Amino acid sequence: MVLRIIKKEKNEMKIELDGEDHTLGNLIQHTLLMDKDIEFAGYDLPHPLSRKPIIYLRTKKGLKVENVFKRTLEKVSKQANEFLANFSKAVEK
Amino acid sequence: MKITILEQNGNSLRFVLSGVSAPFANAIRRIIMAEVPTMAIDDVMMFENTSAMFDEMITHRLGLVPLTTDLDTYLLPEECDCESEFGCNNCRVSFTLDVKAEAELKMVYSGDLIPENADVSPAVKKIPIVRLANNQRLKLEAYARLGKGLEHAKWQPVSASTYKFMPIVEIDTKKCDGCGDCVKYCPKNVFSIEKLKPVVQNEINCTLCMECIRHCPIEPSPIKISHDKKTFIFYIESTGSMPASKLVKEAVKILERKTQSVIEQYKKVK
Ligand SMILES: [Zn+2]
Repeated sequence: MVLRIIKKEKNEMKIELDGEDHTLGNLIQHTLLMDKDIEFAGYDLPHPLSRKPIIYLRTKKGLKVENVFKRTLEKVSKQANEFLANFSKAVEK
Repeated sequence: MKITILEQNGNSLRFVLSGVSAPFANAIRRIIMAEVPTMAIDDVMMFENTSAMFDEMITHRLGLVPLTTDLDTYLLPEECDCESEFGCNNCRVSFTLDVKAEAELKMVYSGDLIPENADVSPAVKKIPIVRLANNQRLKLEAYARLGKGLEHAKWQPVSASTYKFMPIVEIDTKKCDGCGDCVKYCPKNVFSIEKLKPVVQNEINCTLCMECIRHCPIEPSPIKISHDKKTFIFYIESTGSMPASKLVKEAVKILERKTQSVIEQYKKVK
């Protein structure tokens, strides 16, 4: 996977995830929308054959965009770890 | 987040996952189908094929045979150090097959593939490959490697990876006249009659088909059907390559690895 920042301004950003698809795109979009600092977030797969989703995010006025993306991914990672722990416990029972 | 296992037998697994969003459940479902690596035959050296079927057809059928997979010993060819086109002992497994029909007709089965490593062998031994007439012979060497479902369906570790929302079925007993039509028409036997009134006995089986409401003589119907958007009933059916519970664990680990790589790369380019 290769990450590229296509556009970056004070409170908006466009990130391309080369090598990913809806699996991560939709999950990141949804988790971004749950963030209180986010005004708008979306993702687009410009062509179904090229696996390059573009994630767009915009924060509310006056709030910096830099940390929101990282914070979102950490939330996803935390959720995945929680799932793995709970699932292993449930299966062993 | 809460996970409860409903059923676990052989290759199939049913569990309830609650307290997560649909995109998260969907990411797990999609990764199980397309990104958990499995073994499948990818290269075949044909030494003798006097059967009625073309080499290409036999090769294609061999590719679709599910193989038991050991993810701890083998590496994906793109992650292997050998960088060889043909692969090495860490990224490929070879099989031999030599069957000859003598006087009678003989069926070649997947179980006739003899693996070099018994950990990687056909998950089902009775898959017919080709039928040989007398004196016909099939002799070949096959090479299996790890791959992902998004490259070719033969590397898909599951025959089913699905989820549905948790159904909620309610009956307003005050308005219900107890005609019993909902019991009769429900294809999933969600309702049963108790003391002349229908009761919900099998809520989890409901497929939200609404057949009960369509046949209910009372308008508006006292039956109310909805679903819980944060609870999912997963159904995973493995092809036999790995136990279904292992597939789910591998899928979450892949998701975790993906997010970590995005975080790392983001730190670098920022
Ligand atoms: Zn190798």
